Amino acid sequence: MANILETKMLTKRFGGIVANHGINLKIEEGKTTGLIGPNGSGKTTFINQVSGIFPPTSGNILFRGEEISKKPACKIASMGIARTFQRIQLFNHLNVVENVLVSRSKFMSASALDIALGTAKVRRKEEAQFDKAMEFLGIFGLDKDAWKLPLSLPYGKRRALEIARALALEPVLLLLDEPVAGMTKEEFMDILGILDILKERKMTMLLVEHTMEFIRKAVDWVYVLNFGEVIAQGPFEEIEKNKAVITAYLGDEE
Amino acid sequence: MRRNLKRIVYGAFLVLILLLPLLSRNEYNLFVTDTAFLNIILVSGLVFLTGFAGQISLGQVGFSAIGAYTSALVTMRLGMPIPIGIVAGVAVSVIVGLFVAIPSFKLKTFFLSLVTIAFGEIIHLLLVNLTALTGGSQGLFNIPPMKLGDTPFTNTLYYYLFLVIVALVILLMYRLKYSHIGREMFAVNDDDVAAEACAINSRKTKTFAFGLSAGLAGLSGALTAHMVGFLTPDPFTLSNSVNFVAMAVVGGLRELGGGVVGGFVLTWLPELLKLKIQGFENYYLMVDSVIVLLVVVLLPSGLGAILFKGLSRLWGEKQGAVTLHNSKSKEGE
Amino acid sequence: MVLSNLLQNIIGGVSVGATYGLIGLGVVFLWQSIERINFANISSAMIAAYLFYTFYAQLHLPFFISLVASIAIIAVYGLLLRYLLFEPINHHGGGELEFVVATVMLSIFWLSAIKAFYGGVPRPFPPVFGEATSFVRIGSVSIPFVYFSVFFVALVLICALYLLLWKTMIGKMLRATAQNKETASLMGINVNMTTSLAFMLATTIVGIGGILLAPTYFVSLDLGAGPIGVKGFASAIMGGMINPFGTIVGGITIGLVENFSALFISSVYKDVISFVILVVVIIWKPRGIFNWTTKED
Repeated sequence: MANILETKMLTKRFGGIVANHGINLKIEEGKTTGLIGPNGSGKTTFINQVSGIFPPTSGNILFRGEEISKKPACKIASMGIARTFQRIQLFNHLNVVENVLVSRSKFMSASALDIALGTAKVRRKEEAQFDKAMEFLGIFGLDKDAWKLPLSLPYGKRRALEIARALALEPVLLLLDEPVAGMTKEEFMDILGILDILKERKMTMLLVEHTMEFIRKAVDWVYVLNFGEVIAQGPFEEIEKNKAVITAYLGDEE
Repeated sequence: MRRNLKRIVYGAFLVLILLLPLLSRNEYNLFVTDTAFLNIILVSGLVFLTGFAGQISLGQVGFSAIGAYTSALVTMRLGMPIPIGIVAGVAVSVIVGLFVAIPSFKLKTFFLSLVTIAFGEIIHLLLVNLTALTGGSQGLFNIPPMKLGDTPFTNTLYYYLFLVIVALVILLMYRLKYSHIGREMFAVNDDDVAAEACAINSRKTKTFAFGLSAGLAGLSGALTAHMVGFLTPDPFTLSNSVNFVAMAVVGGLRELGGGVVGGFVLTWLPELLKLKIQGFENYYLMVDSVIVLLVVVLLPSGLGAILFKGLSRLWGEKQGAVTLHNSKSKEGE
Repeated sequence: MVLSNLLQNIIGGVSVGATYGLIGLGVVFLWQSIERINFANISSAMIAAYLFYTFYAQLHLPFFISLVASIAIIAVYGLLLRYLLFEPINHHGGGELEFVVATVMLSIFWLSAIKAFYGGVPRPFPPVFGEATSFVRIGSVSIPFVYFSVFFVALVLICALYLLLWKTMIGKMLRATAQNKETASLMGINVNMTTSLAFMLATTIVGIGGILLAPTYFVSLDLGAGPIGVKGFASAIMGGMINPFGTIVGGITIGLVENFSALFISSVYKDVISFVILVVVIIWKPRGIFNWTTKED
């Protein structure tokens, strides 16, 4: 099975703080990989490097064999890595379907000149992408809310929208940063449902989570991070019993 | 939707503005309205930059100056016809605008505003000091006016010319707003990190916005130069850049017609105040600034927002999208 | 001859620079509280100076009363800024940009109002900091006494601020709120009160700064307009918008650089210099001259 993503000795330093240290991680195609660890262990820093928000201090990030560690975020996104954020980051002044349409910009090959002239070609493309966006909303049951503003939706639906927007990029790899943080049991189940849908579509995913319950049901393979380093990896059942992992988490109240 | 009501209202409005110069033959009023049109062009660009793309600029007069002086020099010193001068003015403004975009990649609101203020001040300094090129504080005189045959344009002719240009500018903005470019602007405005995660090159977006708004400011400046006939560094100050931003805010930053409403209202307001409040110039300035202040505090989304939302409700149009036509939303949602 | 000029410029630069730093502190204060820049805050300098002038030189009220009255009014002004400007804008959905425009408009209002009622001619500041003609002799050099007295007062004020912020309960609460509002309120701090306090403190500091600057700049519109504002902001930025020490040092630096550029280059560029410094620092060292880390890191 091919590795969609591989990091080699990935290290990130902020001034005197080492957020990520020598991380070697592999994400296999079609599988859901988990990245867990106590607060401050460097999970979000890892995702930020992979998605291109900042470059690593040293080490490599290989996406389908290609080195991407120096590339800017928008390039990495257009190459096929989509992500969601720890705190839901939607475009609050745009409505639900427009949020998804932002991701569809990539597929809209109309130039500024075409748009300025208002050609039929532009109108056709807009129509096509609008329909596509509605399709993606439909997958998540958000199509009825298409004309609403994000802030008028309940928390769970906002997260679903964020995932829908990421999916609309038609990515090869999806990075989810703490998707169920702060959710009720019901919302949690909805997101699990979404994850099942994504797995059915054979989406390769990296799931960063803090909540063990969610990880248990969702992932095929888990990496555990503590103080910026990988302290264990394996299937969830083994990780659960791993002494080092338990100690790491005992030091951190949920 | 009461489509017919909408058509009637817009139709009446169109007839009114087409007939305005013939109804009111007051030359001074025409001149003020011509100036208002030119301000509308600049402020529309500012609405695009600040309202849509979220980039603050307190230095737009710098671009206006570049457009004005370039066109003046090209027509006076190189003897080119006015249209060429104007195109040159716009071109140079756009190019400079592309460079001014660069600080916006890393700087946010307040800090970006300081850099744009610096830009405006630097241009002003150059205008005053590069005497050989710009005529220094004395400025440039005898800038060729636009002519119809051998007769210079009257205020009325300028009125119709500017009206057409404003209409084209609004049309351009309309097309851009309701397209993926408009969506990218609003996305970058709301959250540029999230936008990048959606494969949007926020630098390209910001550069486009700066370039476009600079070009419109330059266009406004170039047209002013030929209408007024002389140029001095005096109007190209921070004070006026702030006035233009005020026009954008009062008009409605996220409104397509924000430039129109703001440009028109805030060009005419000081004039009306000058008439009503006799005596000290400072009194009318005091009242003017308080009025703008009140509008900004009480109606930050702008008078345009109130106006257009009201109109939408008048003809029963459903609102709900910034970059999509309302006709797309299904009835009964 | 050159030595006396040099010494005068140094001491003068440090003196006026300390007041720039004070104004910068007012800017930093407000920024830390509400993450907004308030252009109308700078107007406090002008308003306070004119108030003091009116009370002391025109109405002939006792010095102490004039001073206290001016400061009290400026403090209330700060409170009004919060409740009549900041809160309504937030309430109606406005953000940073609207706040910027509103405060700029307010500062224009003050400028035109003062101009309408007092005229545009600068008034000489009453000699509360020493007669204009009294000098201090250092060796063979005469330095205006005013430089020293102003610097002394500024220094006292800065020390008082330091004590307030670091050594009192209220100061600690202010700093906690500035760091993180949510955490502060969770700790039981009345964030509403500290925010009001911050607004009032910001205008008061700037107001006193204005009174201290009046001997040099006269009781004039300049106190509320461009140059002072730029220097205040520049000092604040040199302090990384967070570090009071950096702000004061920044202000003093600007004061010194100004005076020396006037001496060696040309006095025309005096105001431009501080502007250039500002832009250079923003672009090159956005965290201030001491590379203080910002809240977000």
